[in-house]
Amino acid sequence: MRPSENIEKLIKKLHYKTSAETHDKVLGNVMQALDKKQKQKPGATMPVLWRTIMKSPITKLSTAVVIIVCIALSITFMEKTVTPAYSFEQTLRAMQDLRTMYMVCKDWNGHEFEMWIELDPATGIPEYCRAYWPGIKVLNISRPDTSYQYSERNNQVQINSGKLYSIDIAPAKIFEQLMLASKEDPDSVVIFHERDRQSGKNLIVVITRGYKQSYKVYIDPETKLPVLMKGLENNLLGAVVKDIEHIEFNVDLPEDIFDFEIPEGAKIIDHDRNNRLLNNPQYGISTEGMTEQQAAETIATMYWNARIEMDAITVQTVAPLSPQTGADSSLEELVEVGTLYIQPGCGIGKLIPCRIRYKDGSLKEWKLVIKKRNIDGRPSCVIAGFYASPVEIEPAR
Amino acid sequence: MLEDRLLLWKFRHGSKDAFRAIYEKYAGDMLTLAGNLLDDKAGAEDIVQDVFIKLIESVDTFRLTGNLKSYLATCVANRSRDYIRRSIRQRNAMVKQAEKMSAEAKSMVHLAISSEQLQKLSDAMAELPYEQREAIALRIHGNLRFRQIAQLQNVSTKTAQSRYRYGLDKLRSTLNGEVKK
Repeated sequence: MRPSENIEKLIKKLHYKTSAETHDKVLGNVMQALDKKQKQKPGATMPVLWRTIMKSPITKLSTAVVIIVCIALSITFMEKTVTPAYSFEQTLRAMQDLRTMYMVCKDWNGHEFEMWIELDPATGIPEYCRAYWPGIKVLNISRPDTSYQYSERNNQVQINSGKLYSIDIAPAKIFEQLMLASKEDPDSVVIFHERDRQSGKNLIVVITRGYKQSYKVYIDPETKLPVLMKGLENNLLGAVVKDIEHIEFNVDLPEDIFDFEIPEGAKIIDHDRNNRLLNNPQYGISTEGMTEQQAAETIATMYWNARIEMDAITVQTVAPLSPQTGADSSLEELVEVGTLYIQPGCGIGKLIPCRIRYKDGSLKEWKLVIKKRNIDGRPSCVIAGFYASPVEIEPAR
Repeated sequence: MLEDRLLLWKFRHGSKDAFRAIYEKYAGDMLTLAGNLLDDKAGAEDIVQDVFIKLIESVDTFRLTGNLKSYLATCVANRSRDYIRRSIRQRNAMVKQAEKMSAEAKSMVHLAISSEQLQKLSDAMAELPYEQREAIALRIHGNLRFRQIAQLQNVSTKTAQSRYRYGLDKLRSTLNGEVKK
């Protein structure tokens, strides 16, 4: 062995490996031990929701009443003749002492993600939030001071000052809105019961069809807290959560869960700079006297024509975040500008689809994000960027 | 590290997948650590199994202060010492049988190590005083700091560092000596 040879490196190579058979055997034994432990403590496996609420003194006091009410309700439901006695106020009362939440959700693009939330006890609004999308490897950390959006695949961090409102889920606020909607238009709310196949419980089901959001919410008749939520429709700018598939309240959150350390070599996008540019009245166009659609069509047309004519100054003026060298000689003409619409999950603005003919004969659809502004009482708009990749409508010749 | 805490948190909340992920992540490293401490593959497998079963049993009560790998490595080290103590007692009782078992176990270890140089290193490791071997294995395979090794061995940090250094020197000279032959 050469003196310079690093013996530590050599020791590191001293690996012990088991055969696949032994690995499976040991893992099987360990998993068996886990099964045994979980069977011994069936309550420990799931709903902290029920156990936590049961621990509260108020709940203890009202348990007897709840049980009686539940028995009465179950009888009523089985007969299915009487409208179940449920009001949103009951859920709002039950939500008064919430401190933390853990949820498994689905976004409007169908991606599953997990959320850990710490609520401000005074307002019921999330103060800290961590959301992780395992499928697309995206992590969002929302904090009152600074928020981070990290894409593991691109090793890119977006930094925002303040909270990330797109993942700001305040269940109490949702129920407040549902309650108001039901008061304004009682027909927009339907309440019935459905038996949960897993637990065998009769859950209260509330369907609300509002102007901005429509939900189907499943409520535990005992705790009056939501156990499931299905988003049916969404016209709310920036909303991310569609479904809540699993929810636990007042759980002990892991330490440091809302901390974020910028990974080594990560590309950093500072949104404060971007926001300053997007909110600078020097950029964008005045939309005085225009409808939202007209304003979006105007700015989109200006942008594409400037790109086609390689007019860099106009491109920068209407879309200040465009790269300085945004000249593109492959564009032929702007074929069509579509109708402005809301894309759930895109909180900056509405999208306008634009079809562009390329010099190679292909036709592609781009979606521009139009940010509406009102600076010093003057309405205006600016192009904040593109949404997703372009879609090829017709291939190249 | 936070990822481990989240896995533990989910495991504590009943997720079998989270436990399986912890097992898949660390079982290999722990087997290597136990294997290097004991020079006995079958014993190492038993210890790894015991450590993970212990984790299941204590998950509701234990609080992770450092990182999970260090915690598991410390558990492996403690159990390895117990295992060796038990083996010595058994060996004293049935010397011949124990020697036979040890030879069998050793041959299994050898199967896992392909290169000749690594085989020599493994043999040299097995010849080191246990405290030195433990310091080396915990530092290199368990990623423990000297402070943690010292705590485990109930000695000063300096002593733990010396044991590590002396152990490495011995390994180096053993390997060099064999090459010279």
